[in-house]
Amino acid sequence: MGAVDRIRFFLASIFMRRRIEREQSEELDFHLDMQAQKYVGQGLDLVEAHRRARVDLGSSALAVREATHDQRGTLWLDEVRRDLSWATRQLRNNPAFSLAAVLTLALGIGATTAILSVLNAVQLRPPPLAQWDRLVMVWETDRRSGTTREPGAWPDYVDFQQRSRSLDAIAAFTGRDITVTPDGVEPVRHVAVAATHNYFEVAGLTPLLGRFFTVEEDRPGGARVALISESMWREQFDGAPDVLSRQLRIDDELHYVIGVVPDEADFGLDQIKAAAAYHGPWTVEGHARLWLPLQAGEDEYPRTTHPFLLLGRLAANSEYRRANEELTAIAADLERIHPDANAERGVFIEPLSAVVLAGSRPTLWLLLGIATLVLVVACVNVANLLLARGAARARELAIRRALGASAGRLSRQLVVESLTLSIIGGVAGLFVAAGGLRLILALAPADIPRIAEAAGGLDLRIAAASLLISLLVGLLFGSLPVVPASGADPGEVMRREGRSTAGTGRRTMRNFLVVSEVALAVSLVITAGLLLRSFNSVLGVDPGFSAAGVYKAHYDLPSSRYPADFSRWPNWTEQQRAVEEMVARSSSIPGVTAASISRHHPLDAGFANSWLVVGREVEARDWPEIAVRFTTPGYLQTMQLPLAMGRELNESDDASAPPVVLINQATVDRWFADQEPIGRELRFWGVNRRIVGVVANERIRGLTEDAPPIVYAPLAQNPANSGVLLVRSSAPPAAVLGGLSRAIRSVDPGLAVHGVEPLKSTILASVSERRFALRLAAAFALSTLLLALIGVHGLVRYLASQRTREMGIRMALGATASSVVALVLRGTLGLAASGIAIGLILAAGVSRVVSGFLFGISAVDVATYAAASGVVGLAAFGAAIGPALRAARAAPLAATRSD
Amino acid sequence: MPTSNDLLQGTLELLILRTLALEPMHGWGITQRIEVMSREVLRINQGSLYPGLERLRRNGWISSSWRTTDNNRRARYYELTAAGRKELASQRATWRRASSAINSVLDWAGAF
Repeated sequence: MGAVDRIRFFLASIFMRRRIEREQSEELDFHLDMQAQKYVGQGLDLVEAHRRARVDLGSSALAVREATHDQRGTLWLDEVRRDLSWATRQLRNNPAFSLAAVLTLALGIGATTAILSVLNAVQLRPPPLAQWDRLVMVWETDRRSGTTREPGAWPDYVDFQQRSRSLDAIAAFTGRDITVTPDGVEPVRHVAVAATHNYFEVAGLTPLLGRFFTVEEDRPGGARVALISESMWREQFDGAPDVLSRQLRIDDELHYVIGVVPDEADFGLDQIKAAAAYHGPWTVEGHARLWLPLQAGEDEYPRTTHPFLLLGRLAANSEYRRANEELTAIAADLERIHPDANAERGVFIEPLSAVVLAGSRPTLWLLLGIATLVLVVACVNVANLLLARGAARARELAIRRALGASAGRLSRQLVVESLTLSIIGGVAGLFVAAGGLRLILALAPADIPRIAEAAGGLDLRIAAASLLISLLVGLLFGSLPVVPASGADPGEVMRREGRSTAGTGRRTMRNFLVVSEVALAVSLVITAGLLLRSFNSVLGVDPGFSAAGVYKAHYDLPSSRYPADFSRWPNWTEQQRAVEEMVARSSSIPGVTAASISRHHPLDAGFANSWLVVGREVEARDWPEIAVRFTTPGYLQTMQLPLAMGRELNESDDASAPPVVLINQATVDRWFADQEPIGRELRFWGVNRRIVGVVANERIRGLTEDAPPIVYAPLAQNPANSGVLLVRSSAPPAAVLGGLSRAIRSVDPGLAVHGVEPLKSTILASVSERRFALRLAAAFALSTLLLALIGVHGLVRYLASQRTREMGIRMALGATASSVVALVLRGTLGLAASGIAIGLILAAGVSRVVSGFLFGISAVDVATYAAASGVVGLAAFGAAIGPALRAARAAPLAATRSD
Repeated sequence: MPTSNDLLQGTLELLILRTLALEPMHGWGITQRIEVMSREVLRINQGSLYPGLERLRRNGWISSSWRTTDNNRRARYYELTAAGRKELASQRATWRRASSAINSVLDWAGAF
């Protein structure tokens, strides 16, 4: 018989099985009838004849069918189909168990997939730069003040670039706040990046349109050209293709647009800025929208100033350590050649990825930890449920073995059942993952680099991996029950399982399951509780200043109308006048109780500078830099910052008066512990200034860091072209915010105003990353809590109902219903208690791991531990009560009959 | 008496082929025929018959079709195919050789 015929047969047996089975039945029926007829012919009556015929056919009918099936070679397919329907029926008949298992799997797989998809997009997938692992930041260091990660000087940069072999190329860049004035519209502030012409090449970017700067354009006094980002192209020019012939007014000057770069060209400038010890005037936040040629030269940027960040690319055959050594040697050389400018200055390189991702790494690792934990809990839950169920079915399996089912057949059925469960759970998990991803993206602060890329969707590989894990767990624990059954003699098992109460083996396992489930649940709830309470603590921290009712507005004075002429400094009359006017006009806004201008608002760490106390120069060589803040006289009132000693700054401390300063308590604690600070002089920027007062501490480095040493100097004595207007007002926010912008514009309509918001918003934004981490942690800890509770509840309830028969027997032997219920409950509570005890110890260990995220709360906070134990204990108790009462209510005989 | 289970499976197929060589028949009829032809010695069990028929069908030696009996009942009839006839002849020859060889061993009265 040909292969074609065989195939035809095979296909026929799959697709026409019903017809084939029908025909088979008909054939066998015919045979039965004919045989019966024969018996009738031999003298039996009709009924007897049929009975004999059936007996003849009898047990072999199934065998016939099976044997013929065997011949067709589709036996396994039929059996699997049967197993599948059996499995679904089993799952349907045990809704509590199935629901618990499916929910657990769905939550576990969903959470893990969502989080890992985000992680992958943000942390693991490389940004669209060519070979970005070869990019490094070249930082200068100052051994005198101990600062690392300083921007570099222009002549240093040129020297590094020329001399280094291990770096292919270095680009210098810095951020700049600029004003863009589209025709006839209000000026808008943007962040621009000024960079050397090789910047894009070094970074590995390609323009979408046009070209990058040429060498000529990058010279001091070079052409006014600019590159714009893709989103700016869309906003300002509607994505017009002729943008390359257009001009843009930047800082009051027309620039030619020579190209468009993709938005990802800003691969983490905010993070670099945050990592740097200080930086030039670069305050506007957000992604860079414009790119200007740096046009730097040694005249404007001598070796003594350090304004530029340096981005380098490692040469093909060099590596970090070697490159570091080479650059350090070059720096030492420069130190020798230029002792006055480069004394005590060094250099080191750091991978760009470390800088850009450093800030968000802790958050992301926390997320990873949570995801793993959730998956582990889910698997443990499912395993527990399956084990419990397996143990309960040992008897059923033994009976079936005794009736002739092969161990292989039984395992296969259990495997099919577990797989079905896992697949349903997995599919549900994918839906949960999709929802979870959307949730994470909604909660995430925009400044986690590249988080927008995660919106692309779930990473299918991760989904597949979690699905696989759940399948494996299901397989493993689902088929475990067969292992003892297949080895043992079925009779023995029957005898053992036929006993009315559980043997010691089964009881031990049951106890172990409950205890472990409770322990896990308790430790998770505790961790969740600690994280949640930390979050609350952070927001409750006293920032040292009263932020409620304070509003800020940033302004910039363009140098075209407010010349920054250092030969007249500090007599910058235009700037002084503007500042005075702005303060006066905002003070007259109804509801405003205090107004002042500061170079930086209270949450901006601003400048740090090297300094000394006159008379303690030697000692001061080792002092770190001090934070320097420039304010108008009303600052202390506006921020309600108490004065501890001496006097405030006032109007008489102007450009013609002797330079004075205030210092904060932290400074006094550190360097004036045994000296009177008032009257002493300190020196920075080459000017001696007398200390006239001491103020309380402000947490300018964010809520979770202590206030650093700060010195406050009058803005009038140290004018600048940008600042922040701060007002305190009791009026509703909308009125105040509008009034602020108007006040500034009324002084000079051409000023760009930005960052106008209540200070409270700024504070919230400053903790946004932490807030995100904690919110997420809380959300996912909550879901593990849910998982844990489902697990404990499901398990205890299932096991309690398994003891129904035992309870029935006890009652039949004379125990009262209440005593039996009490017995079961006592047993459950005892197990729960040991589980809780273990869980507490586990939690103490786990919380040490996350202690980096805890704030204001100890890792062993009693209240949290107690609450968690209570919640879980209650869940266990609640789970056991229902089945216990229900079983006790049923008649003892009915109880013994339940199988 | 030895039941069909004791016979080699192959022998059963030989018997079925032989029976069908006379005329097409349904399953029950085949068992009756073999019973008669073997003088009541061989009783074929349904458990072996139908699988055997299936095997023969798969090998293409018999074909089946549904027809009505004399009593107007529907039954599945089997008949020999051309390939089946060839197979019958070949299996018959094999059987003759095998059985005469066995007889030779059983009746041995000579020396080695």
